[in-house]
Amino acid sequence: MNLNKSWKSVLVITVAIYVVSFIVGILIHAVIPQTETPDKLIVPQSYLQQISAMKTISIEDAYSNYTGNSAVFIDARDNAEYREGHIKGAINIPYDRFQQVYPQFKKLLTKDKKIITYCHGTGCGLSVDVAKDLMAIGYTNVYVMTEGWPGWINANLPISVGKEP
Amino acid sequence: MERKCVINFALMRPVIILVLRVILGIVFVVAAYGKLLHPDALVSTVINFNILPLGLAKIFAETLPWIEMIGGIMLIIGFGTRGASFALGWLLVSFIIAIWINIHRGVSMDCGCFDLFGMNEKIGSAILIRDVVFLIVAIALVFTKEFMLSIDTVLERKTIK
Repeated sequence: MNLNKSWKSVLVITVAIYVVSFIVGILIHAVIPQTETPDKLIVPQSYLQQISAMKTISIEDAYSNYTGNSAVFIDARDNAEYREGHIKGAINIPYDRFQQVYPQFKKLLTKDKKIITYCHGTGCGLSVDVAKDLMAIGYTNVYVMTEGWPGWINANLPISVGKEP
Repeated sequence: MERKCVINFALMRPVIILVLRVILGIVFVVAAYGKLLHPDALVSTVINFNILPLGLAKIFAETLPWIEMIGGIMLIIGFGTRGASFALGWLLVSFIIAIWINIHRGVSMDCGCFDLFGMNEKIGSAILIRDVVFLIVAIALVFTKEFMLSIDTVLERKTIK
């Protein structure tokens, strides 16, 4: 067998496998129904006013903080929702129990740390409430991840289920 | 005595190659099946490896199981065997690099290699060595001219005739 020719067929087959796999992968992904994006929520005016006064952060930037281990994530939803699933490593400070729960995490939340709060996504004010509570006691480096839990899930980013962060 | 051993090995060689080829094929098909069952977990794993940017990681996660599935089946039936081994070999190189980088980062993470039977391996030197062994087999197959019990051999004989 001509060696040059046989290597050529090896390369052709390899490229063919990669190309076919890529196409099949993309097609299957397109066919399988996606998790619904709650982007059609009607965002209340009061929320827009609240959020305009806060520092916000996108999913992408929050994720780069996540990988760089340079921020603490706070889940502002209630504990039952937190247990159903949350950002991997996020701590849970429910918006209505800030005074009771905050002391548990006081050591973790040093004032120089970047803090990112989140809840049910666009239109959800719980993360704003927790961020305000934190700012009221002297934290300055607080960000609200407005796209929240649905945004994180839709981006397929690391999550954790159960009561552990 | 020594001569006899050499002859025996020469006779055994096609059989050994056949066994290695089929085993490697089955390994990849099983790995692909587990990944196809849990697409979300695979995307998370690839992202958690933290090597590719987000967009590329998703594309890689969508493509990867199909390369394993198609390549694995081709190895088992012996069709385009050398090409399939070459394709899977490069995949193994990417796995080895990715695992090696993350071991050096000191990260403990799910390997995501075989997402089946609740297998939940963590990356480590054992998995690195396993992938290197698979890679050696794949390289050996790329440099093999004839495959026993393969479609390749049947087709080649037909063209010669």
